[in-house]
Amino acid sequence: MDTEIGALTVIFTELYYWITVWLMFFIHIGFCMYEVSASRHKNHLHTLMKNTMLIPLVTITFFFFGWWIYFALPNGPWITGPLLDAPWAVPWSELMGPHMGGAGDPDGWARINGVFWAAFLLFSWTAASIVSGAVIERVRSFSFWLLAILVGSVTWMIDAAWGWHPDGWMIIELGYHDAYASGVIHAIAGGSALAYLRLLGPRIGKFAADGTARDLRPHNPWLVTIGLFFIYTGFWGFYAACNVPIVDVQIGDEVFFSATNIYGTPTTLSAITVNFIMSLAGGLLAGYVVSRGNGFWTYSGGLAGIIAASAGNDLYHPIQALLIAGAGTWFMYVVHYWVERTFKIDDAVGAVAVHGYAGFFGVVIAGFVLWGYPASAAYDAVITPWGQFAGAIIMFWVLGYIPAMALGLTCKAFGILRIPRDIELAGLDIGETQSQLDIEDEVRATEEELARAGGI
Amino acid sequence: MTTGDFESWTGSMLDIGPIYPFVGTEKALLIVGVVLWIIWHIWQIRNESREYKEEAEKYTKGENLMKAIRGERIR
Repeated sequence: MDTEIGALTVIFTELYYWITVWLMFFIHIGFCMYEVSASRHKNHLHTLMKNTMLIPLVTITFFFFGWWIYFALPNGPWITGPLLDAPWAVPWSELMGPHMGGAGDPDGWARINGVFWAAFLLFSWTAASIVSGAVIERVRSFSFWLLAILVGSVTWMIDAAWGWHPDGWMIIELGYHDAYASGVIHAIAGGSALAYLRLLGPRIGKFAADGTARDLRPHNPWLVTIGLFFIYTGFWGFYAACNVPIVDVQIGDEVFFSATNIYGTPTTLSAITVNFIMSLAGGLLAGYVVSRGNGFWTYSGGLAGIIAASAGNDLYHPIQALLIAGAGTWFMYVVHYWVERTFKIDDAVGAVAVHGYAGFFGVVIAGFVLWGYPASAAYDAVITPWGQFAGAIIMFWVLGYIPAMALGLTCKAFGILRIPRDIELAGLDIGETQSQLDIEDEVRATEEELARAGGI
Repeated sequence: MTTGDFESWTGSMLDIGPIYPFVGTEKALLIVGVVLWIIWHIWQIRNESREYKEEAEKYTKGENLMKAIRGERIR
């Protein structure tokens, strides 16, 4: 911070991530609105609290160990090397608090650590919140919040260390490329949700006696609309936060400053902005067609389109982004209904489809379209279909489905996975509903008493 | 007397590191935070289980479950 240009670079980077943080907050507003609108009146408050309370729980656990996992585990550990030192990320580090840097902080961690931490935390909330929507109206809050911590502060941080870090072993060994997190956020969250859904079973009434699925539509389509628009809005911040805003990318003596993706390879904010919009457009167009104009799936298609193109949106041509988004949206829609029919999975908001299947698709398709591209500036790794396919399996199944299944089985063994049947029938907000009826009766009695006495 | 790790803003800024009070207590603060986090979960699972048990008991009586499904008052 002792030269003007150096200080400007650090403070610009600090400001850049700060802006992404509050932009990404819109994702969470959107998820809350979306979930509440998709739930029935008798479950509103429980649904809202379930999602809201993941914010503090993931936040504190991310402070305690999530941030450290990202920097300590790029080698596996012991897949390509040992645990790494990350003195700025341990929860007792002085650099985790307000800090001026002093003479011993040449890399500027004192300034960047907090906003970088917060940007990753907002990714963590997003990952946990994706799971939240799928399991509404039947999961016990305690069990869900353990899952939120597992996904938000542990498994997604492991996958980020492995596949979303310039020195992650998946980049070095597999040439894994997932610039805007098709796999590292969306596929892992989708896989985790699928595991819990299998153990939870469907909501009462979701399937008819003959096994036919009933379409339990959102009770408030307008809230779904606004919620998804907020999620789109937040995704601008999500994309920007996946970049590093200003880095000298020139190897050797010359200097060339550019934005880079998380792997340190060059891209531009301009490129990813165009591709973001084109993939949103592709998803909306395909979602409308494949669902015959169904509003829920059209909006979800927009989100699925972005997610399907995200793995390679730092490099795709805009029309490639459009086409990949459309194909990914079609894929997730078809797989969603096949899984629902075949395995009787009740994914209440289509989260496994929009995030899990579209994310998986996005990672795999990037392997074909970007085949042979360098995956890293520092290592001789190239992007390949098989590397991407292996990466998609790791994200969805190994780090998504399996850990969530283990946690869910444990909760089930203790009888704390699903709410009791009678409470599900009556509604999770039944306590509040009955209290409100009591209050309304008391107020009415008071009013009648006053009216009889001629007091009003 | 100061709780901070520095006494003036007027010296060299390169000599100033952490600016929060009680520097050196970070590990103790972490232990407090982790303990409170675990206590919160224990309180929550107990509270949740108690509430579900009380609510579920109501529905075993008479027509209470049917009334609850219809949104009517349960006595």
